[in-house]
Amino acid sequence: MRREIPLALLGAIFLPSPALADDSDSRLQPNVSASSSQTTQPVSGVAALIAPTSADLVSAAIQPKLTGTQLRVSAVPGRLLRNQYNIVLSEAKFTVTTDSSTSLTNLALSLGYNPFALNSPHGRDVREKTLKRDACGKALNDAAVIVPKALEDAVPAAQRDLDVAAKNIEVASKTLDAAKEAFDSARLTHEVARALAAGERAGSPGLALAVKNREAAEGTRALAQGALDAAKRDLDAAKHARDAATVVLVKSQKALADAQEAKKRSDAKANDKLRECHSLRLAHEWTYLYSGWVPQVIGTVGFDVYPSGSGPDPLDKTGASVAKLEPWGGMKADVSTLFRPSERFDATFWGSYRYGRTSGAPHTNLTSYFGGGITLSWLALPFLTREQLNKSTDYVKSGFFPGMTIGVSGQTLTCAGRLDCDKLRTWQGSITPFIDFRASPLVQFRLSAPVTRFTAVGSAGTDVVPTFTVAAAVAAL
Amino acid sequence: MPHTSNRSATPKSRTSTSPYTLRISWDPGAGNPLAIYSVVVDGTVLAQDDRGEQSPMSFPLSGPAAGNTFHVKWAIAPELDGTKTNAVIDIRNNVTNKEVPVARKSEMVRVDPPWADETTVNAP
Repeated sequence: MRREIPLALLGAIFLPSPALADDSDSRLQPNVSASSSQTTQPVSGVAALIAPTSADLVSAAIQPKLTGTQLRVSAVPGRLLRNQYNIVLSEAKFTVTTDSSTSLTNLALSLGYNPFALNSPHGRDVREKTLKRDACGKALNDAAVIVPKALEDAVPAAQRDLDVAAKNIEVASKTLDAAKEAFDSARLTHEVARALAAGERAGSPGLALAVKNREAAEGTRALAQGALDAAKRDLDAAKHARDAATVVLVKSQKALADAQEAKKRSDAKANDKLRECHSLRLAHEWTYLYSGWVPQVIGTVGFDVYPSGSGPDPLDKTGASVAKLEPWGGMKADVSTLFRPSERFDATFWGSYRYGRTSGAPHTNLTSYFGGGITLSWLALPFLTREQLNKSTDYVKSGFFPGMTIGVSGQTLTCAGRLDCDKLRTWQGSITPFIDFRASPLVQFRLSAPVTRFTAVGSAGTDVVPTFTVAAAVAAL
Repeated sequence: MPHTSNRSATPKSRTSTSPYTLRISWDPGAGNPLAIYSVVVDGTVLAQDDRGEQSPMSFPLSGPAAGNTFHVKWAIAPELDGTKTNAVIDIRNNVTNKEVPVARKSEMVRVDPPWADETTVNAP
């Protein structure tokens, strides 16, 4: 069975900035959206979430840097069990991040709740709501046209009448034939009797009998004539009845055919409406799913690993001696929440703690970092009207809302270790305005300009690093 | 003017001692709900804008119409994405344990048009 595995290939092109040329870690930021159909590229800043909120079964991100490349691969095994939703386990995500610029490898596990999944409890509520609200079935049943039973019964009844009329004609025809025969016979008998009577002489003994026979033959002929006339009338009446039954049958058949045709047209129209209603309902599901106060909550823990072995001893100025490297890079944890109060607005809040070292070099010490941030984004310029959106295949299928999004991310990171802090920075804060262009689920762009203010041991400063990010995705087997 | 009439969409309960049952079964049947937009048998609405959570769903039927037949009309669709759903509709006589298939559909997906059709079958 063919299965589509969206593989996000995320590339970032950074405009040169000498001040942050080697500041690689500061660019790992949370996503602006939990939807897999929208960019999973983090917003640049100083405080990093360990694992961006990708929701795909498998996803990968490659981020080229001036001093190396970062590769992030994540897997959400729960996506294989699409029919089951467990509030914690369904969102379990394993993430591996390696960075050649720092030789750092991070392994992380995320657990949480994603209300934006159709099979989540919130998704079930939304599906129930749209099912009742759009009421596609009610519209279908209300539009249903039936052919009245009387019409259906009228045709066989008319046919039966016609059959009876035909039989009556047959009987009347036979009766007429018999009457004709009887009349012919009676006429012949009468003519014979009349001739015999005419041949008798007056006063002869046979005259009276001949006359009597002639009169009897006249009576018989008259009776036969009457029977013949009656048979003719019966035949005419039967023919009239047949004609009338034929008319009724034709009318009944036409009425039935008209009703059936009307039902056919009505059914076709009702089915078209059902399709439209179903599609609209699926669109409404995303509208409701992405408009509420039920947040996505994701907690992540991870640990850092540097290469082990030995390397040049930084305390030995001659460089002649080596010392043991520090492979244990420490641990990280963060909790993030994503709110989508309306479909065009979302807000992410997160806090993080890291107990780590700046590198795996000998004699580096573990120290504590506390960070957090807020990202707000607003789809300011939709590329489609609501009517167009509801008919958009991408929207109906995955809730993808094309448009231009503007947003800002504020982040802060404090280090407690002073001389053990990364680049001796004890505090960093950043504001990152950004613009997203969401052309399609496969093609999205981001322009951002993080402005960072920091306090270091013995110094302070400001950095600005504009970035341009292209996000793309391919479908693989 | 065609001689037609509109049927009320009000669902009606069918409490009877009839041995007949209409069943909708689908696979996968667990955690893969169906939208039951409409199920109408002999003009009686058995389900309308309901959700089928667990396969199979059964609906008691009153006896067959004249001619010992059932006219079944339905419209259903899978609720969740990413799952190809196979569905079967049949009518069962619970006394004789005989069944008669009404219709079947394979590989339904959420974004496809609903499976909507109607047919007449003999009572089992």
